[in-house]
Amino acid sequence: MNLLLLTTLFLPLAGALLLGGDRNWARHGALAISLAVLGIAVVLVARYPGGTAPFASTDWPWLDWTAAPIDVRFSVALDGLSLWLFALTALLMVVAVLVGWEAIKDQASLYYRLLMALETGMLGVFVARDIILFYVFFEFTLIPLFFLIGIWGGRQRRWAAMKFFLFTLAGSVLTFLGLLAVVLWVYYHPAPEAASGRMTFSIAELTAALGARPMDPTMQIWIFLALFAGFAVKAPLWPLHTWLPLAHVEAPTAGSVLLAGVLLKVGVYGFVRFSLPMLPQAAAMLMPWLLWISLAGVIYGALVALAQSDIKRLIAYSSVSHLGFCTLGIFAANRLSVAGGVLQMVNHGLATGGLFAVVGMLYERFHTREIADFGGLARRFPRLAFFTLVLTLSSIALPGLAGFAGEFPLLVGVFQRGWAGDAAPHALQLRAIAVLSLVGVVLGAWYMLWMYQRVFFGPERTGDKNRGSGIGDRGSGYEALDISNPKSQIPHQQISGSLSPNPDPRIPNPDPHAAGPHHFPKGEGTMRDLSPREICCLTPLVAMIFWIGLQPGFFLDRMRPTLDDLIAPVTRACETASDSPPRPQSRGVFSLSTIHYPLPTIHYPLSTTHYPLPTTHYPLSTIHYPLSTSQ
Amino acid sequence: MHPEIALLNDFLLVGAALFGVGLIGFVSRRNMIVMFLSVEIMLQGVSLSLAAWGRFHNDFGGQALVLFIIAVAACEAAVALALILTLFHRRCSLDIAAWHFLREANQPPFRDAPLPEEPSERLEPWPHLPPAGARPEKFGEEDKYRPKV
Amino acid sequence: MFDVQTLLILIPALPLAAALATAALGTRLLRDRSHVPVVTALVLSFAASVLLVFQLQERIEERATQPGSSQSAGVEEVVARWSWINVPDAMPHPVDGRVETPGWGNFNIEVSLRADPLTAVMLAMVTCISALVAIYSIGYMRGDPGYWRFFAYVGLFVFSMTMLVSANNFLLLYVFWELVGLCSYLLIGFWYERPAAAAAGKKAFLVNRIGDVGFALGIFLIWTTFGTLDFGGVFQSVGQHAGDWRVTAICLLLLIGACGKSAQFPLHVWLPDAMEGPTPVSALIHAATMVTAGVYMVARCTPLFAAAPDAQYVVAVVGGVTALLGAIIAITQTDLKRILAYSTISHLGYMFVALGTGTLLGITAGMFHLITHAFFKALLFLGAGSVMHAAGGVIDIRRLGGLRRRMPVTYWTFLAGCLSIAGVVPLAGFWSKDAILLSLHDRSGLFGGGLFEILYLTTLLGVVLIDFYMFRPFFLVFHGKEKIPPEAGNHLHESPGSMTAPLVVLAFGSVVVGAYFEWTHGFAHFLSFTPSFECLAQSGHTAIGTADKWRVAAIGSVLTAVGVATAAMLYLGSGKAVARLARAMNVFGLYSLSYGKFFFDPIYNAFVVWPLLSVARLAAWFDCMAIDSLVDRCGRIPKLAGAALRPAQNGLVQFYALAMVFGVLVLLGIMLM
Repeated sequence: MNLLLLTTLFLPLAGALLLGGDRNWARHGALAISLAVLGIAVVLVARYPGGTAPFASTDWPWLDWTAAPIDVRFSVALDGLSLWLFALTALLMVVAVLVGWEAIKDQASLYYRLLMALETGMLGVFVARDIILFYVFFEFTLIPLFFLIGIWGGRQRRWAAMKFFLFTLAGSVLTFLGLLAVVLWVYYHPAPEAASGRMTFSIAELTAALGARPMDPTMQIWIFLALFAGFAVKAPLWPLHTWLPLAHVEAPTAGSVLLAGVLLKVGVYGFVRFSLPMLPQAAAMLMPWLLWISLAGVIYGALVALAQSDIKRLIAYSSVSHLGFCTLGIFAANRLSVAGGVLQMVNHGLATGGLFAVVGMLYERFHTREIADFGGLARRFPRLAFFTLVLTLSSIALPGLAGFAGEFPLLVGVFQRGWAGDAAPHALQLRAIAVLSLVGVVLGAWYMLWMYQRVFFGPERTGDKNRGSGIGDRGSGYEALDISNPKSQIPHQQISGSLSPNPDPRIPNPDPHAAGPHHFPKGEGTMRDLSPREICCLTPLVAMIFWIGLQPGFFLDRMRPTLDDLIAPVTRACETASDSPPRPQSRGVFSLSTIHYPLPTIHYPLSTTHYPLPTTHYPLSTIHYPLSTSQ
Repeated sequence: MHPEIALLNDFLLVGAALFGVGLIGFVSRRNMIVMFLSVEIMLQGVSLSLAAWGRFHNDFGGQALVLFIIAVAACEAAVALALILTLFHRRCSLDIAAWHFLREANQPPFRDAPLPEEPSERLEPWPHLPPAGARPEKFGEEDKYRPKV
Repeated sequence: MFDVQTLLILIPALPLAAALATAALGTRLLRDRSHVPVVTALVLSFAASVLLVFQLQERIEERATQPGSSQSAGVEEVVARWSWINVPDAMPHPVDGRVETPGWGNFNIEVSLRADPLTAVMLAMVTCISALVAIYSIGYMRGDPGYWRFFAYVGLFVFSMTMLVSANNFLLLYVFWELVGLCSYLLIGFWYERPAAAAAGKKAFLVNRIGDVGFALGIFLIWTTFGTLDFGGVFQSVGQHAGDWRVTAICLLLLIGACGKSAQFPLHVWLPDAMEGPTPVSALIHAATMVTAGVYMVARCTPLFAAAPDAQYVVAVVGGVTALLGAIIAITQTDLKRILAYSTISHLGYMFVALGTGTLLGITAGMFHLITHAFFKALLFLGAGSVMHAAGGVIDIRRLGGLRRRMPVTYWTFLAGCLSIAGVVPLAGFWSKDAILLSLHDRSGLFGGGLFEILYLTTLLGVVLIDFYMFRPFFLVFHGKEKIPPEAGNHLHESPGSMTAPLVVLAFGSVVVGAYFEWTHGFAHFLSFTPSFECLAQSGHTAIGTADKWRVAAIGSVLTAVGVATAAMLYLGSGKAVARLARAMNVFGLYSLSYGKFFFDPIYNAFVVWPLLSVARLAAWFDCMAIDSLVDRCGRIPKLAGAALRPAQNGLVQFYALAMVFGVLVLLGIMLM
């Protein structure tokens, strides 16, 4: 029993139940709780010893009926995979509380209670060590977010909330079936020496049992697909992503931050935690398909983002693209790619969460999110421009920032999967995927920089055509405003004076009637650059981005032992597959149809206790290569 | 044919006939009380078959079950009649169709099929008397109403 | 006092510290004095670089006294400070019997710097030019609202560039490769309120990104082929992979990266647009330093290219095509800075040609040209900036004229630059150009290679064109009738001292640096101690006769004279001859082609940008109309199913009873069957 970890789970839950009073009380309470959780998370991270053993674990019996052999436990712990996601959640929660500090006015206490409930759910997903507990948290995250979107969202909030809820729920029901199938399979195929007759739900025990006695490959593929349904919707993988832009656009800022920062990771986390270690042969056999889907997400998400006119939608689609990168790395399943993929999850949470926060700040000021309504904001909002630039550059994987530290090992790993030696099965497809994934890198730079250019660069144009007060109101309130803008402290006339003779016409001519601080709406305090609260909001994200970018080894070293353990079965499965004699000779043929998976041929009823366990006879060796010359 | 089987045959035939009569009554009538009676008739048909089978197998189970059914039917009658009474109070009608609005939404309402127009047997009063002092115009309808007069 | 390691760390650390200080204090404390930390740091960095060169020179002399097995052993020095990522056993051992390098598959990326002659030369050049440009910018950028920002960016750039040239593994090279791209992006878009500047910055970043993707793929392939990313490990084991298609592929992919950064055909389109940035930036980044990173990289990877002769041919051809292309376009441009930009493209092409010869002679010639080019091109750009500064920002050579008397310092220094770039005899450009021509001549004779014969002739043609296109703007701007644009006001005068002093220094350098290196034979000798070039020294090349040298020098000089004379004839006289010539050339469409820059931008827009944007819009439409509507349709399935079953619930008890009866009948039927 570890009190620290339990506190992080139950403190927000207590907050969700007890927070109340007026808005001020509620938001301060929520901030205090989230800060406390963040503090504990930092302590846990600092104390994390590395290695593969679960850390800070608590294990209580939970549902332990004497009648049935069910042994569901309340079992939580941290390990290398969950450590950084856990810390990321705690950090983003503070950001989420701060980001809606002023914007949320109606039913504020309910809002903060839901946020706290969401925090419990999100933290719980990452620390749960029991399948049922995991699933409970997994589903529990839906409910607060459903209300957050449905009550405080945009115009189509009801529709968005419902679609988000139903879509993810539909997928995760299948996931639940898949998880139960794993449990039952292990229950009905006990190891001969351990005939305890207990139906275990412990993730570690199940993984170990399946490692010792692997499931029949056909069965593995079916269960893999069942798990895939829920995790892929959650991640979201192409083409199951369409709930995401809608939910993001309609959600309140905090909802978007958490959705992008944490909840999308839950799906990918599920792949690493369950799909890969429990069903390694399925992962190995389906690898080209999974990688193609991820690649489709990468390129498709980037292309669609390129065509967006709404900043929030653009960033939402960029999430599809980036999560495609994460799953690309994870399904490639080697040391570098999985480490990079998991790190990339954290990086995406920081960068995209920050970008959503920035969009929220813009929206609070201008009440619009259309890119066309903005222009030249860098002049009056230099701090916002700076933070956004760092987040944008991290998002397009500029070296030195976090995005690169995740993306580069990831891509090296994916490339290695196809190009290291000729022995890899489906080598040609994997090679093509590795090369094509870089197209996403170029497109990513294009849409992000284009967005940045249109919003922050160019002649000043502070949108807000809907309200009409932004531009029309000139000549008043200029002196009183924009104290926080360092550049505007230089008096206007002084700039003009020193520019004579103008050294270069490319220096924008400070025409007082064309552009400049005169455009401040009268008395509108929010038309300033970032407030201290907002800077507090973005600074930790940017600091983390720099830290991860400059010292990714610190983060990777703590997660790698666990990750290596988790993907070891897949690596073995891939090696077995590549050792099988009929190697693909048809290297010149680029076709998915050259591989026949024996998918719908064998039926194993779950209740049969005698399976012909195929330990040596492994169906990858039965792959038919019609064009192979060796046959 | 063995006489026992012949006997069973007869009983079963009567039971089936009772059941059929009850069924048709239930489906075709709209008066709730009559429908209830039809249900009772079906029940009796089943009871008769049970008793016959009990005798055929030389087993008291069938007759015991019949007694049980009678008891249940009594309870059922109490409940059903109370229900019917309540329904009657609500609608002042024993027509089951009065409750068809409990159907699923968006479904077309039930309408009584229009009854065919009955040929009118009644003749119009005749003769048409002209006002006093005026001469009857024409007795053109005489042929129609009193052809034999 | 300072050993090599300390110097190696100090050189990038000083600009970084200055940049951070300026960024932190620029708005409040420094303001108009924002240049102080950066200029100080750059000057100190330059001093450190010179010290580094001297220390390496000492080592080389020590080596000369004690001959050993390896020529360059003991000259280089590597400093590793911290491990960026360390994933041991990241890659399984090769199964196909390929040779493993020691440490195979350990993904251990250290932030490690190396000092060897190649790096030292680059460091000295970069810090020297950047210090001069920073001093120049004090005057040029004075009064700009983003004064502190400018110097912070410059500091960041010099840090990145010095790290780039001293990186010791491919990943670190890539990291700073991208970071100099970022600085370029920020500095091109320095005046971000101008849409053209912002768009040019984005374009530069994206075109560079395309090159970077090639570079990244090259790095991935290096990783899977050699199992390491350290220069040392890769270059040592490359000999065992001779003839492997992977090495050729690696070289070609690296070449794509180099093409992006060094603005080589077909990725040269960003450089002319990059002239939207402040002129000192154009001089520093887009003429002297950053764009030569591609040349540096190819030179650094010489062992790889030496193992892939096919790739070397490609390098040479790309260089030749670019050299000619840039020169032809530069002839007809009217924007002085764009003329210089195309000239830069063309000269970088010369360097690539020289590298493509694959001989020590060629590679040292290319590096030699890189150094001299940095001096005279920075000089020319800064001179152009001086003209702009005086002329109120006008840079169109048709609107300027006869500035000779108004701006004497600028005039004379610009003349020195022009003469140097044209390759007039004792000036720097002559020696390096001559070295390139000589290496091509040498190579074309070696294997009877038709390819290098053609490239030789191409470069000779290029020499004429260079003289012509450089003296054309020179004559137009400084000679002839005095034309002063109205933007300049009536007080067109020479630039302040902080701007003219760097001009004079650079002019001095442009005049003497070539002759100094050539007469002392110091440059090639110094460079030949670079470990990367060992493979060349071993392969050997025929000694070049003195007659060859004289012949090449004579041909080059004659062609130079022809070019200058043509320009003088056309542009010192009336404009009629020019117009006639332009008309005559336009018969073949040459003039339009040159004036329209070979229409690369419209072609790329039509065949790359527009299709991609269309596909993007199509994808967005598809997402909305196909995938999402499919999802929504799936969401309607329960509703439709409900609607289908709804009539059963019609509220008629008799109907239900009948349904029950039929149900019972069906069950009965099933049971009886």
